Amino acid sequence: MTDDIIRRAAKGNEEAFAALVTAHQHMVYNLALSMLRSREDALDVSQEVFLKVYRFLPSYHFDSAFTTWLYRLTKNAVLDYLRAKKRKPSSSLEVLEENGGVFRDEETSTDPFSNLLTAERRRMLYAAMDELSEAHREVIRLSCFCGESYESIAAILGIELGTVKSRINRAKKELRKILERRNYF
Amino acid sequence: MKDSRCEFFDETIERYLSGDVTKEEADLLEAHLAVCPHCQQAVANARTLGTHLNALKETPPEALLSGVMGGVRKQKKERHSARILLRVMPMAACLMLIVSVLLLFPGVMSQKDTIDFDDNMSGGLHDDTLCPSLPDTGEEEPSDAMPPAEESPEDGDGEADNEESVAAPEAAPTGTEQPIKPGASVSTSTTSPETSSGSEPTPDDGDSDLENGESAFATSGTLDSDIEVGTKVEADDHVTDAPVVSDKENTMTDQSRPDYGLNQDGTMDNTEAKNTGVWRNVLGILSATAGIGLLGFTVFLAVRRKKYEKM
Repeated sequence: MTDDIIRRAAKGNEEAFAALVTAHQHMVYNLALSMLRSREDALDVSQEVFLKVYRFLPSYHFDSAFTTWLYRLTKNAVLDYLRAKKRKPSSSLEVLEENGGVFRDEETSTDPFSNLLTAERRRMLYAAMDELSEAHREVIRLSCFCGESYESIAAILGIELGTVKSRINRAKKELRKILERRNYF
Repeated sequence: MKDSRCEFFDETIERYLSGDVTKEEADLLEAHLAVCPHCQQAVANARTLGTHLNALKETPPEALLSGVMGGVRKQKKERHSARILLRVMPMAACLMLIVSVLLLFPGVMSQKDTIDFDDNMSGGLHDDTLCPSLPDTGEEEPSDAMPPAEESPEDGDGEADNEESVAAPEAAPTGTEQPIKPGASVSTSTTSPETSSGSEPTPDDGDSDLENGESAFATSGTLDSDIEVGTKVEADDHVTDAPVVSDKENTMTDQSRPDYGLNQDGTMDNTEAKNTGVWRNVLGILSATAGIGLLGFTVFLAVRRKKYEKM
């Protein structure tokens, strides 16, 4: 995403802003989805995030990477949304059951890869993720859910590249161990 | 069967799968994997987990982009309206406050031009600076009323002879061809010896200004009290010394006189003025309240806008 597109979008250029949304909607939506675990809620929050981006874009002065700014906006928006709905970010299985969301078989998305997982498997994966530390959970979200590169994750979180790699490896190992204990495989 | 080396290699499986191991580490692991089914399963599990974690991410729905752009257009309109409001509302507020000041304090604009009417009316006409008084000669002040006619010693038999009108001292007391002025009582100097003798005067007798066929109304202050005020007097009527006024001028009755807002006791009736003042004050207060409210709302909008921009 070039700075020029961001500047044009900040001035109110609708085409430039649409390009901005298209480039970053994947990260925003999946980050919201990983935290909310509901496609409807993730859609609402994502729209809200981009409208906030449009409103506050004139105040973005390139002090940090755009994805960093966007990540913070998204995370805060999700936390505000959960606070409003009085839910925890890493919801217990009971809340997930109540919410339904990604764990209902009939709610499978059109994405072909996501259909590999049954609702039960999804539930187990999310439950295992809930047992990780927040730092490990964060890198798993950005790496696996959002598809961000290690360099991008390093910029977003403000940590070293080596730290990103080691955190991801340790997080995956822990997940594997948890799931092996639960006969996931 | 798991052995002690499995623990060691277990730590490198995720790095091996992400390609983050040295060549030596990779060779050692691959050699171990060839003989350790436990670690082979671990590697398989790690690969499955990676695939499943990637399967968790989804393609955002199309409604996301369309919803966002719809919201953007709506925000643009709202911003435009807010900008107009923030320009118009302060002006409207100032206008209302000006109107309220003018309503509540009407003397503000006209203070310099206002003449102290009451003072001038009460003393101005008699104020020496405005109207120097005439030297006091002991004479009575002139009035419009017709003084009673004096009997001439020559007319001891009762002839009435009005020579002069007091209301118009400057006029020559001819009594013959005096023009009738509005509001002035005019004497008609008529000598009618026939009166005393009882004979009827002819129309040509006397010096009446009434032409033939004309009529007039007798006004107050007549010498002869036989003729009442308001009585219509014809030209050929017996007129002695009754001052007359053309009926063209004296057509007003008491009922048709304009009402100058006087009470019974002669004081000014200012009820209407009081009511107008009350309404003016009410409107002034309402105007001030609206103006202050508008100003407050403008400030609130401006502060909120700044707050959002700073965020």
